[in-house]
Amino acid sequence: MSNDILSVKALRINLSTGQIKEETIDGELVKKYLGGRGLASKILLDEIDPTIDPLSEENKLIFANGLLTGTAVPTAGRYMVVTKGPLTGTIASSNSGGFFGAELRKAGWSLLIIEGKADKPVYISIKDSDVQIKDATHLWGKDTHETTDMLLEEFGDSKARVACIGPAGEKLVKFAAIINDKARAAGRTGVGAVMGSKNLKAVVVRGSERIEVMDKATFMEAIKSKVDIIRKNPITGEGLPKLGTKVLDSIINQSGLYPTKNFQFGTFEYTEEVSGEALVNKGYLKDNKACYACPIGCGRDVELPTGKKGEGPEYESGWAFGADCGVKDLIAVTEANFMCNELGLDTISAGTTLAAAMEMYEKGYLPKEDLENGPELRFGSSEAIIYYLHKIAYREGIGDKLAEGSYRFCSSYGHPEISMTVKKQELPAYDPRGAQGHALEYATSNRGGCHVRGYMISPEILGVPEKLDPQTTEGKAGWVKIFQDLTAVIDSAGLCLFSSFALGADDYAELINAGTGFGLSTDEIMKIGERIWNLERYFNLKAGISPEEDKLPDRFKEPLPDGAQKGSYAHYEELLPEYYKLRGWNEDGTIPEEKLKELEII
Amino acid sequence: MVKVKFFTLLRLDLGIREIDINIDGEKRLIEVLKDAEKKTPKPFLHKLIDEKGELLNSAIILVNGKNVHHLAKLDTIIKDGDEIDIFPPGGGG
Repeated sequence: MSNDILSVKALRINLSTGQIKEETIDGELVKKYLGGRGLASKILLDEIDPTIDPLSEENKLIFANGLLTGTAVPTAGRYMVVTKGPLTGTIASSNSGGFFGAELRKAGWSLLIIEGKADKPVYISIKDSDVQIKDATHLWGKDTHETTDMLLEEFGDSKARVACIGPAGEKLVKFAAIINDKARAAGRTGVGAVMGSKNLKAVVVRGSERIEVMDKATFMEAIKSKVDIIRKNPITGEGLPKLGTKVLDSIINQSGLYPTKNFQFGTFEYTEEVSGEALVNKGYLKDNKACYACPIGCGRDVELPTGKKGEGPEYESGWAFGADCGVKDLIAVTEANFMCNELGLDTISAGTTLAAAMEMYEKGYLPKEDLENGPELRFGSSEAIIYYLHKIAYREGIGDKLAEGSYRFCSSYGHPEISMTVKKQELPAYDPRGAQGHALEYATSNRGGCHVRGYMISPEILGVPEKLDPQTTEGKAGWVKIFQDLTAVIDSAGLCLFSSFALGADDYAELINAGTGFGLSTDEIMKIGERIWNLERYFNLKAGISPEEDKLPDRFKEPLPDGAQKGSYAHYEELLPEYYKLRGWNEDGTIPEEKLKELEII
Repeated sequence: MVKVKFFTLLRLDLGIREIDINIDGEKRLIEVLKDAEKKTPKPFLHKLIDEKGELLNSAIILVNGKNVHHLAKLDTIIKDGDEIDIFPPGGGG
């Protein structure tokens, strides 16, 4: 078996020296961290000094496939980009779907460990074991679509897959994304800026090998049963295919936690204009799209009346440019999403940084002259979101300051309180005052403000796996821990988080065991998740991220002024001591040595 | 008058946004929903309730913004002037 699932191989590519090395990852490490987020985080902790400048040559950028990526397991098309993040200074890991990860695995590679910095723009070309560093001078300055098209032509195989940065990554925008397959994004935490800092424009890959598993019959049987569960589940079998993630707009708005105008309100009066239902009813949605091995197909294939075609918007992206910026024009919101894909920007941070700038402007904290001749940064201005996105990606005019993200932007004018961030990363599309467990999850996320490290919206609002009252605090710390640990497992297995609307920890254990023969119990699987969570936290502590940063903006201590949860505020500070205790941490949020030893991290 | 609003897949499937239901005094939610189902182009209760007649964990029914899972579920008392928002199971992120 030349490409069996347990043959976890890494390509170590040093862009300073041009050296390319093949390595095989120790099997014990695979059993302890699975792959993807877990394995790459372990490698990053072992190999870099966590205090380094994220955009320096010393940082490493790891493309990491999950253990099951590239197999026939449903949703096994995910890869993770792990590095030290320039937006937060924390460990950064950003997940993407599409087909790039699976193609890389089929070429025989679970990990690409990128080191150093090229002295001129380069790209990496991979055709199975034929790996080359090539000149990318002609690609520098191109957007992600142009880059992908040009590289596929140059590579000579239209079935190859490309992950690349756009102008935003080249210009080191702190929330630049890596875009693969033109529309799938390793979006958050600024991983695109790290790629840009290394002068690495793209990776193009084509693989030809099948991935062999230990017991094919058992594996295929497990896969069949999980596909069946996913197809029969109303969320993964019907809601997501038909409405995409934008099924959430009206749910979250009516539930009163749909952040509006930079989290000043919890409902948006024009939700009906920009919702998932509107995308269908206005005729913009042409089809749904699926990533590799995905039976769900939540992707949106959209054509606008302007003639512009593309993928999206997803819920978060549509909200960031819609409700959060007060914009009710679905065409402009969708075009902003397309622009982010082409320029290589994270939609959440881009939209919410603009929303913060709008509040700054309307409150008189941002002088009009700083906009030079640009449109006024007023809530509701679709002209402004389009104009300033371009400015951000190219760091032109005030775009240079906005490209630093909302925390640094607002702080530069003396008003950090306007920035809706945790650990300097912009918060996504759920007001934490409307879901107490989710507030705790925001505060404790290892990569800063983020909803996909422990998606408590699922039980607190959506009733999956059971319905919890969003305003109670009892038991929530325990739920957050379980969700965070399980998510680390799903990410490290290379599966899509959306599979968890239908599958549970036992299902993931069954799939991992069927593929690998590991024979892990569900408790042991959850222990792997706990190990990964603690390792990430350990990296952050070493990087100088204080537990005092487990904190939400002060705005969330004020009651929600409107909507179904009017009057509620975030109680996460009451939950933190219980959360730390459940995690086995010290009262001050640091990790005791015995815990690190128990989890075999040190 | 009680306003019953349909969202997400139900809005697409039923082709309507909302209907008004007249009630005298108070009624249990399930009774109002059954009344509403008589006025919609297609049945919808099967998207919200299992074969035993229990409300699905992931069905979202809000009465004046409050999820009925935290009220009295299908026995929640509905009064004149209430608004009922209905969503079949949904999720994303």
